[in-house]
Amino acid sequence: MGQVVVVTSGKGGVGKTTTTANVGLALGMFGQRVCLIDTDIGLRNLDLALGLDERVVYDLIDVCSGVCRLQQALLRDKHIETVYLLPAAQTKAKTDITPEQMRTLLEQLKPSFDFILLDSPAGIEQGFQNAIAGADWAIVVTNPEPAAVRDADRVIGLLHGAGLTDVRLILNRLRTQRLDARSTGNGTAGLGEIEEVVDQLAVDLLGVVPEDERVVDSNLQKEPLVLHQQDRAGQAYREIARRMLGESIPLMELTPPKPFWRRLGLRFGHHARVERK
Amino acid sequence: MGHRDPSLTRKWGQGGKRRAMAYLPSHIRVKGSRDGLTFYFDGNVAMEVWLAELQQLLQREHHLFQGPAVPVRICFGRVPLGTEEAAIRACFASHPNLIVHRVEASSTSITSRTGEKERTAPTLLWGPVRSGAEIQSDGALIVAGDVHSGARLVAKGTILVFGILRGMACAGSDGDIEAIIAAWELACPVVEIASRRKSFEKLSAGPTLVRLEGEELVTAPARHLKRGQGGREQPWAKWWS
Repeated sequence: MGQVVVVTSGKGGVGKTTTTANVGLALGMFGQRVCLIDTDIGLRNLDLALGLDERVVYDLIDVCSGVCRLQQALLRDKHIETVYLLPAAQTKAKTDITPEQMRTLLEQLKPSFDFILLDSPAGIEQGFQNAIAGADWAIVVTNPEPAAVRDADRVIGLLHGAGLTDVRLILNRLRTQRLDARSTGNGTAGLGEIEEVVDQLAVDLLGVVPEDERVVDSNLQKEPLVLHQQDRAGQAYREIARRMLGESIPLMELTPPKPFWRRLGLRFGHHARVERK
Repeated sequence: MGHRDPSLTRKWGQGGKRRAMAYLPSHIRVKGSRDGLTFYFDGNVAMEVWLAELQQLLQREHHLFQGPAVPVRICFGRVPLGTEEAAIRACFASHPNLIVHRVEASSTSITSRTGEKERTAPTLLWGPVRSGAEIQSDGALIVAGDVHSGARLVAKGTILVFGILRGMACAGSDGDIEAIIAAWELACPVVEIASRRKSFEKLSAGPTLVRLEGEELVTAPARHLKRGQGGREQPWAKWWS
């Protein structure tokens, strides 16, 4: 039986859809059978993030209202063949589906997948209630900014209220340059900002994704960046997927690698001399 | 402990209730502070009752009431009669180190264990109070955890937060002007006590309390708590007990 994970945030634009697509594909890369469901009915995006927008024929509403069979609506990913997408409808409203229908749908999907990721819409209204209906646990995505953190806090409260006590946090779009500026001086990244957010929200941290310009490029090219080995954000998503599979992995080095001459200087104690002044 | 009544000695395994009832006088409470001892009397019972209890207390706990001179304050609960005050002073005369400074009719001396049951018990809340949550309490409210921005606490009594208070707190929602708000860290934009509001521009670091003085809310470092709110009478006493 698969586990149903809802990816939510409260605030819009923090990277729910990007996270769902990348984590889903990363799980697929590790051999898991994954189903991604876009529950943002009326404003579907997940198909674009995966580059499957041209193949969409049937959608979530069609499945729930019995227009088509589940198998007809599921789209297989271009790159990883164990990953499937169930797109949302673009023309309908979020009230056209009920939490009960979502639960029934998830029960049908559970036996044939290891992970079912639900991409939740922004906000805490009907769409959000639909998305969390059948979930086993939740991923809350937030950015290190006050508005996103407060909305995440509200959402965590609502999730707890709905009986979803297992909530994990992904801190998205963390600007590592700022981290570097606040670094502790001994070479390790100053994790103050991360700790602040995790302390404030009081939930387990699932991963930290550094801000990466290539996310925008990958959206333009309709190809999730997790597929490229060298991207730092992609690496972060792969780490998150491994943590979801139960591995224990420390946070990746978040500060960008230093230039060669700087590393050489550090090697010869230059850094220490500066410290002593 | 030689003078203790042997019938009252507690054995392990025996219920503690009987001991507590027999051992502690039910109409007198004693509180120690830096400024000395304060005896709270329940003035509503007959004179013989509390007088006997006081004598028993001083006699039985004589080892506690020996030593250096200690100033004693008596809070009587109502205006004491001349004979009553004389009787109290006569009782204390047997302990020369207990110097009775004042016998006063304090309004906050309603601390007898009999009256305690009628008050609403404080609400204890674990874990963080998250944004959007609203917590109501009919008495005092104690939160063991942070109160996040966007959350709201409403209590008819005092609000204590053992964490960072970032959300809104309304103490004394029924108009109790003795209610206070205290937190490990006060990081909220506004607090309310008995419908008076105060907004903060600068956030305080460290344990802080807010109380009502006249018509205005004032903040103070929470270390003043142990001195009864910075010199004022102890409204706490009613739910400390």
